[in-house]
Amino acid sequence: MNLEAKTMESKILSSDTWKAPGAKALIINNVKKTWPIWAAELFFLSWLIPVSLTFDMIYGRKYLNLDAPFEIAKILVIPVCVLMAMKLFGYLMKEKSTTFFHSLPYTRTKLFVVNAVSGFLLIMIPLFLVGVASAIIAAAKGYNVVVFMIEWFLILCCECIYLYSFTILIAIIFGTKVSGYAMTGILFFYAEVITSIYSSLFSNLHTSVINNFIFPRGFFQFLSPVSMATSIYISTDYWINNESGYSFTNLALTITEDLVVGALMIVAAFLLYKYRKSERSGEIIAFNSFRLVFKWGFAFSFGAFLTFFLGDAVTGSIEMQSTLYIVQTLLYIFFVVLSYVIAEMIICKKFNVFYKLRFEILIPVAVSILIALMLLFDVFGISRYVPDKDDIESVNVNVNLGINETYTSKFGSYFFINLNSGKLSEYEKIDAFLEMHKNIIADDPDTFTYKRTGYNKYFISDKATEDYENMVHIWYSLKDGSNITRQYYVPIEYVEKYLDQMETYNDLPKSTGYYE
Amino acid sequence: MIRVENVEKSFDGLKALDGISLTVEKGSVYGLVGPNGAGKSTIIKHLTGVYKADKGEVRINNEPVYENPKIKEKISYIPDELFFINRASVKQMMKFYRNVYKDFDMERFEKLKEVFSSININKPICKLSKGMQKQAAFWLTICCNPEIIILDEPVDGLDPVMRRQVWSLLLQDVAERSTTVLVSSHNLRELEDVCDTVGILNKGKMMLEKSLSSLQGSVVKYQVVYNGEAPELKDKLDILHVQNNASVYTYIIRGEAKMIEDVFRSFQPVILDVIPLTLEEIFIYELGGEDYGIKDIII
Repeated sequence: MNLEAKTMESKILSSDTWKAPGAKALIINNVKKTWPIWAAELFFLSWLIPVSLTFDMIYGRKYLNLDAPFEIAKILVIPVCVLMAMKLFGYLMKEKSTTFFHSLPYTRTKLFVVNAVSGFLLIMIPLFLVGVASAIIAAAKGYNVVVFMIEWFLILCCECIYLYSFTILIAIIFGTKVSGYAMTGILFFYAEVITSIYSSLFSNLHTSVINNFIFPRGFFQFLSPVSMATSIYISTDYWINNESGYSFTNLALTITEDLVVGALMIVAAFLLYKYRKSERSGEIIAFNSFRLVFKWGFAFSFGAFLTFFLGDAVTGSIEMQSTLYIVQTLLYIFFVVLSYVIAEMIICKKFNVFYKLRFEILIPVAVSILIALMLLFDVFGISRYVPDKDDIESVNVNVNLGINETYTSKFGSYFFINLNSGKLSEYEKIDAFLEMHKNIIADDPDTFTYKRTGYNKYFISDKATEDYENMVHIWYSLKDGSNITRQYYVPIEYVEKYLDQMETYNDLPKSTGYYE
Repeated sequence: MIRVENVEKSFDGLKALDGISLTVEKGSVYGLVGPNGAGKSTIIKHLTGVYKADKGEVRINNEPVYENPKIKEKISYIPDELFFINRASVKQMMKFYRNVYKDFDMERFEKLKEVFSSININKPICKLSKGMQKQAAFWLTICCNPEIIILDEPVDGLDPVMRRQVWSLLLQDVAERSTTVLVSSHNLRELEDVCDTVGILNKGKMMLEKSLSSLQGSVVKYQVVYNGEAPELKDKLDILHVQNNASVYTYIIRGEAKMIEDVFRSFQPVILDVIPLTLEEIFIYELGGEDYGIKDIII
């Protein structure tokens, strides 16, 4: 009997990792331990899709709308993956539990693999059940959505692999307590933090506008779970008579990215897990070298976040732009340093860290001053960047003029030009736009310093409002699929000069007029 | 058989274990004694495969313990701070252990219900008193039928009756199944009645490791009353300690009892009595004069 049983075993089942009884005990434990997470996932997903479809059927709606549930499911799996990973690897944060699990007759490999795989399955099973239920309900309504649901499941499966691996990696490095969640939050959103908060902050420091500092995400996007999770969109028509279709944008690319980056991260997490010493359990960050990563990452992300959201309370009441630069720079330095101190408090698990940091704190101060100065003088030429003509697919220019009761321009209150059909004849006209863009930059310091001496745009006054009416906004769509946007506030006489130049291109598609 | 050879372990530059070696024979009870911070729990975590030694070897049945499930399956461990999964009850923990340890003995579990009758097996263990939690840990550990039981401060929180019962169960295992027991304590009195061998740890070093019988045979305590002045014995006997109360002299002497008695008798004492030594007295005088934190382990 035993011999028969052994012969029947597959290679995978007979391997040490999965051999009963050890794996079974861990899996049962994991199912029990994480039930609130997968139960909540199952409940909300069921409510979103099969239950919603059932009500559609009951009330006789003649279409299926799967866009919204899909988009919501994409977002819903983010907290599910984070909580699942944190819960399953949370035992590393307590000495008692680490000792318990590491004294059991398992190898570290087995513990890691069983925990990681069982957690992933616990995330995927509710998705699978919801997919099957949705397909059955849709079939009862006369629609065949099997292929759609399979694709839907695959996309979410890949997204979950990415998110779950990412969080496990963070949990292994930064723990599953405050620092783990803080780093998860920072790393999940850091692409957004860099592209929006820092862009805004940098723009203000540079007296420019936010769009000029939106960094191209490029490689960083692959390391930003939120960017990855939201990169696939579904566009469906209403599924009337089963004839309309659907399409997922960026499907193959995103799935491949998810799988490759997810696989790399889970392998990294596994290697770190094996290297992680049991005696480090209970410590906020198990690897000394990552303490610096945490402190600096937290300081500059959270510092920018605080400056962006809290700084406005101070800067909004400053009348002159010139004062605003100084105040905003000081606020930025202050919040970076504060965040640095908070990071140290998290690591040391105590409030009194000031004495320890009395000299070290000078480093983030110096770095943040350096960043502020580099931005103020646009050391990297971000605001002055003009793309190569050969890289440009299409261009749009939008000019807003400071028109009010006291001033009227011959161009009206707006002037809009576009060049987006991509024909060769229009390609030749790109020169006109590049010339204008270069002229704006060449007029520096007149144009760039214009707002340095003007009114704070957030300061509520008529003068401030007038100052910021005159804006040239240029959009470039590049051939590699990316976009570059540049905006400049310039004196009205300069605006008119640029538009006069543009007028020489009579055949440009344009529209002008007055706002009502 | 457990063999630890020159194990070193440091935590952030602080040496917790400094070249420790020890040997525990199969079917024996080994007591690991030392003051707080001596390194007892650290060496135990090496023995249970939780920690990896910076240097040296930890072997059980001649195989390394770390990352060796085959060996770890033969070990049951009760740490000083107990841990039970997910608010589990004894019944749930029993199911967990049954799945983890293939030698888990259900029959024994049922039989031991009588011994641990005060425990409600369906109640979450974390809701039980500290003493009951300890009992639950013993219950589950014994039922795993391990070859080696490792106990870190095991009877803290148990009442005297339960202590006796628990030790009786463990010693029964030692006698019947040749189970090896390694028990750590900061209190020598606790181990005096049960250990075959005792090792004293201090500041990460093994200060002394001896079998109880050889220790007890190697140091003797005499009370002597002389007929007149006490003779000079320093060059004749290895005297560890001498105390004088009126005409009564109390000696603690290292050496063979027969030879020592012959020396005393040569001075024709009025009274010569052999007095039993407690384990703590032996350790005090074996390590006497050195700052080994001995006070801490006998208080």
